[in-house]
Amino acid sequence: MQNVTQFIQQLINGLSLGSIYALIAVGYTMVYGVLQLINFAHGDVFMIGAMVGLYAATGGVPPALPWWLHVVIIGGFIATFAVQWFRGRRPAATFQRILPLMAIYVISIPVLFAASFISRRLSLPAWSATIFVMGFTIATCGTLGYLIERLAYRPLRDRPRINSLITAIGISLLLEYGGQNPRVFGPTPQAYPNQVIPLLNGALVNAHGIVILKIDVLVLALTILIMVGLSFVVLKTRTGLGLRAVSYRFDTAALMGVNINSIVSFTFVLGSCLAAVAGILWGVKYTRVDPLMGLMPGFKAFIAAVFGGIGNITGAVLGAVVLGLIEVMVVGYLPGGSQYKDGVAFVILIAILLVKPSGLLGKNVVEKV
Amino acid sequence: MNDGGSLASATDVLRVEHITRRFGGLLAVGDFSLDLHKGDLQGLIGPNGAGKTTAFNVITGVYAPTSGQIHLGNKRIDGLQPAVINRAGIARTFQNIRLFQNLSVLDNVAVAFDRSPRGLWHTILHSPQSERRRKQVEQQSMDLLATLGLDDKAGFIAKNLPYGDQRRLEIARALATQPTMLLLDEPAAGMNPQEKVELMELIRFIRQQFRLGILLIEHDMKLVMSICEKITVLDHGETIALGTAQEIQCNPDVIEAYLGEPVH
Amino acid sequence: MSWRKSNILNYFAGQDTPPWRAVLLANVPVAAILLAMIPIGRVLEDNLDPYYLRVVMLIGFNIILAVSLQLINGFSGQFSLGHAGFMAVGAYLAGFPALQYSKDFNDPSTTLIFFISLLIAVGLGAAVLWMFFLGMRRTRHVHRSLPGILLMVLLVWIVTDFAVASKYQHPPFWAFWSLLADSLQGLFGSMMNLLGPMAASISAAMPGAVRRPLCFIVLLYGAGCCASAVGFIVGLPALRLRGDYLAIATLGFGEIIRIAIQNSRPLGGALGLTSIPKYTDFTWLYVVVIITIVAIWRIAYSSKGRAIMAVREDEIAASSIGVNTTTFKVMAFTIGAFFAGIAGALFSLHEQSISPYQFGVVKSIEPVVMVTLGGLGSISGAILAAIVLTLLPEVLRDISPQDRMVIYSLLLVVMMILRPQGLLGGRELWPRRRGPLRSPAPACSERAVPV
Repeated sequence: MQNVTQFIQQLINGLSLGSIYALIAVGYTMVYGVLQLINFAHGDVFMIGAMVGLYAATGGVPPALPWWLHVVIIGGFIATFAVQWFRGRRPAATFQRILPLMAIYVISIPVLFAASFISRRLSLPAWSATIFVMGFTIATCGTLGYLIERLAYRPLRDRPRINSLITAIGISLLLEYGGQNPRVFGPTPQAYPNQVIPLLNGALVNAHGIVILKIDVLVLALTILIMVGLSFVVLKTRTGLGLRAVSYRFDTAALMGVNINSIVSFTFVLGSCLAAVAGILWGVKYTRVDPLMGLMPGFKAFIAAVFGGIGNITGAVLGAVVLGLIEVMVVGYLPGGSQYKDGVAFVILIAILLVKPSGLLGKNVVEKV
Repeated sequence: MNDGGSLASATDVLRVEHITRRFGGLLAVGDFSLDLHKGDLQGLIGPNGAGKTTAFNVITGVYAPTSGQIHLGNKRIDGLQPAVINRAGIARTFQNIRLFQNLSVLDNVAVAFDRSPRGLWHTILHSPQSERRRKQVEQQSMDLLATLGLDDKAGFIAKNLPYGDQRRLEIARALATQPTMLLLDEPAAGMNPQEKVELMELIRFIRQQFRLGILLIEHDMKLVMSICEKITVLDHGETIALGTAQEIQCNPDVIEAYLGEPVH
Repeated sequence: MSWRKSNILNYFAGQDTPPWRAVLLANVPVAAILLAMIPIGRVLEDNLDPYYLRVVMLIGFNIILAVSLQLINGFSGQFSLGHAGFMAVGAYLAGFPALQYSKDFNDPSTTLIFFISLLIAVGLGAAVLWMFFLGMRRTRHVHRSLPGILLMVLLVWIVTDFAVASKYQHPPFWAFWSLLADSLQGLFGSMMNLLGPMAASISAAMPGAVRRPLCFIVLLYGAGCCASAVGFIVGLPALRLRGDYLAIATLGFGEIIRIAIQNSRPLGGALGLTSIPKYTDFTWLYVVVIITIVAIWRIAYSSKGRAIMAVREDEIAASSIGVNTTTFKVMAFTIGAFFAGIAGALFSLHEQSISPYQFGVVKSIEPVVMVTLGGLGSISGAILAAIVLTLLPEVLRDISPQDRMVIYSLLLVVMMILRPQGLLGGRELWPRRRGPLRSPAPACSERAVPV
C-alpha cells in the first residue's frame, strides 16, 4: 500500500511539474511553427516572469527606468529617424513603422510609476494583490516578447536560419547575465514570499498519505484550459487560420492577405504571457528563483515540444506532461536519479529525434525530389 | 570519355521490370517496364502527375520499388542507395535544377571525378599522389566543360549562371560520373525555342560522343517526337502506350490522356 | 580569366609545376613555421608578462576549437552545438592517464597500454550492444536477423542468471547495463594490471629526453582519437537530422557527455580532476595550432572538402553523383571532434585542474559564435574571430564577468543583425579564393532580341 501511495504522489508531482513545462512548451512550439525558429530566449522570459512576479509582490518595482536607458531609447528613436531619412523615407512613414515601439515606451512611463506605487502598498494575500502581480508580470513579459521579436528576430527574417539561432542565443545570454547584474536581479537566488496567491496554500487533499497541493490543481487546470482554449483559437478563429497559414507557407500567406507581422507578434506575445504565468507558478511552488533558473526548464520545455510534435500545441502539452512525469519518476525510483534527471530529458530528445523526428503527434513531411 | 569497351557487355542494358511504387494508398507508378540499351534514345511522356519523375526516382534509388526489379547488365540495382546506383553507371538530372549553388562551375563537375573518401592522409600531408590526382581531376573537368561549351565560365559561381547554362552544367555534372545510362528529367523546361533546338543537338551529340543510353522526360512534344526513337506514355501511373513517335501520335488513349475525351 | 584560381585546389602551385616541387612548396614552409615555434616559445615565455602569456595561450585553444568547428558547421553545414562535449572527452582522457599512469609524463608505454585497453574494452562493449540491436534492424529476409536475436536472448539469459546468482535478488531491468559496465571496467583493470608493469619497464629503458615528449604525444593523440570516436557516435544519428533539430540534438549530446562525466567517480565526479601535471607550453600549443590550421585547410580545400561542401549544398544531388553523403558527414564530425579533443587535452594539461562545469553549454556556444562571426566556410575568418573574441573580454577586464557577457552578447546580436555573413563573408583572407563573386555579363549582345 505504501508503494501505491508513493506512486500516486509521484504521479501528482509529475503532472504538476509537467503542467508548468507545458505552459513554457506551448510558447516554443508556437514560435517554431510560425517561424521555424528555436527561441532560445524563451526560457529566460520564463525566468523574467518569475523575477518580476517576485518584485511586484514584494514592492521592488522601480518607479522609473534608469536615466541612461531613457537616453538610449530616445537616442535610438532619433537615430532610426535619421537613418531612414538618409535612405529616403519620409519621417511620417518611419513614424508609422515604429509607432508600436514608441507607444510602448510612452505608456511604460506612467504604468511603471503606478505599478511601483501599487506594489509597495500591496498586502498579501488578497485577490487584488494577486490580480496586480499576475497582470503586471504578464504585461511585462508580453511586452518583452514583443520587443525581442521586433528588434532582434524581424530584421533577420530573410537571412539563413543560423543567424536567427545565434541571435536567440545572444538574447538568452543577455537576459541571463544582465539579470545577474547586481543592479537588476543580482546573482544570488531569492525566495518567493509565502502567500502570493490567496487560497492557494496548503493542501486540497491530505488523505492516506497523499498530499495534493492546491497549486498543483490550479496548474493542471490552467494548463488544460489553455490547451483547449488555444486549440479553439487555432482551429476556429480567423487569427488561428492565419496562424496555420503562416506556419505552412510564409510567403504565400502574405500574398493571401494575412498580416504576417501581426500574426508573428501575436504568437510571441502569447507565448511570453504563458511563460510569465509559468514563472510565477514555479516561484509559488518551488519558492527559489535566480537569474539562471530559466536554462534547464527552458531546455526541457523545448524537448517536450519536440517530443510531442513541434508546431502542434496539443503535442507540446502532452509531451511536457509526459516529460514531467518521467523526470519525477526518475528522481523517485532510480538510485542516484536526481543526478541524472537532466540527462534523461536529453536522452529522450535524442531518442525521439532518431525514432520519430516529427514527434508523437506530428506528421512526417517528406522532401519532394 | 567513356570506357574503351573493355567491359562493354557488362552494363549494356538497363532492364526495368514491372516496378510499382505506392505511397500509402496512392499508386504512383504501376507495373512500369522499360528496356534501355546503350546508344538508345528513349522518351517518357505523360500528363503532369503521371508518375514519370517517380519512375526516375525509383530507378535511381531515391525510392525503393514496392515491387518489381531493376537490372543494370547482370547486376540487380533496385533498392540500393542512390550513390551506389550512380557508381554502377546511372546518372540523372533533376526537374528543378539541383546544382551546388555556392560552388564554382568547375567544382560542380570536379566533385564527380574525385568522390572517394579514401586517401585522407595523402590529403593532409599533400603527397605527390594527391598532387597528381588533383591535376588529373582538373584536366578532366576542364575537358568535359570544354566539350559542353562551359569552359570559359569555369570560375563562375553556379547560382549566377543563366538558366540555360545551369541546365547544361547539370548535364555536364551527370556526365562527369562516367555513366552508361543518362536519365534527363525535363531538360528543356523553361527554355525558349532556340535553346530547345540547341538542347536537341546537345543530346544527339552526347549520345554519339559518349555512347550512352538516354531516357528523357519531356513535355515538349516537338522535341520528344523528333529525337526519341521509342516513347513510353504514362498516365496516372499506368503505362498506356509504348512505341515509336508515329505510333504514339495516332494512339487514341494518348490523345485522350492529353486532350480529354472527344466531344460527341 | 583565372579559372585556375577558381578550382579550390590551386593554391600553392600552378598547372605546370611537377608534383614533387608542389609537395615541397606546400610542406617546407609549414615545417619551417613549426620549427620557428620553438625559439619563439622560448623567447615569449622568458620575456612576456605571465598575464599576456595566458591570453596568448587562450587564443591558441580558441583557434583550435574554432577551426575544428568550422569544418563541421561551415564546410559540412551541420550545425553542431556540442563541441564542448568533444573537448571534455579529450580533456578528461588526457588528464586521467596523466594523473594515474604517468606521473610527470615519464611513462609513455603505460599510457599507450591505457589507450589500447580502453579501445578493446569499449570495442567489446560496442560489439555486444551492436549484436543487441542487430535483431532489431529491418532486414529484407527475416531469417538473417534470427541468429542475432537468438544471441541476444542467450546473452540476456546468461546475464540475468549471473545477476541472480551473485548480487541481486530480483535483477532490475537495468542490471544488464550495469553488469556490462562492471565487466568492462573489470576487463580494463585486469588488462592494465597485466600489461602495465611490462610497459613501465619499457618506458624506463627509454632515454629521458625521448620519454617525456613521447608520453605527451601519446596522450594528445590518444585523447584526440577518443574524442573522434565520440564524434563518430554523435555523427551517426546526426545524419537523420537537419538544421535546428541537429543543433538541439548535438546540444543534447554535449550535455549528456557532461552529465556522464559528472556522475563517474573515477573521473572525479562533480569536483573534477585536480593536480594534473603541467606540460603544455607555448611551443607545444602553437605547434598543434599550426598543424590544425594546415590540416583542416588542406582537407577543406581538397577533393574531400569539395565533396563535403557538395553534401552541404544539396544532399540529394550529391548522392545522385555517387558521393556517399553518410561517409562525408560523419567524416566532418570525426575530424572536427579529433581536434577538439586535442584542444581539450592541451587545456587540461595546461590548467592542471578541470571540472565538468567548464564544458557546459556556454563553452559549446563560444566556438559557434566565433565561427559564425568569422563567416561560415572561412578558416581565416574563424581564426580572426577567435583572436578578436578572446581578446575582447580581456580588454574589458575591469568589468565584472557578468557584465562582460552582457557586452559580448549585445555585440553578438548587433553583429548578427548588421553583418550576418560574418567578418569575412565566407571568403578567405589569403590566398584569394575566386575573387569577388562574378556574374556573366548580360547576354543582350549575344542574342538578337526581337523587338
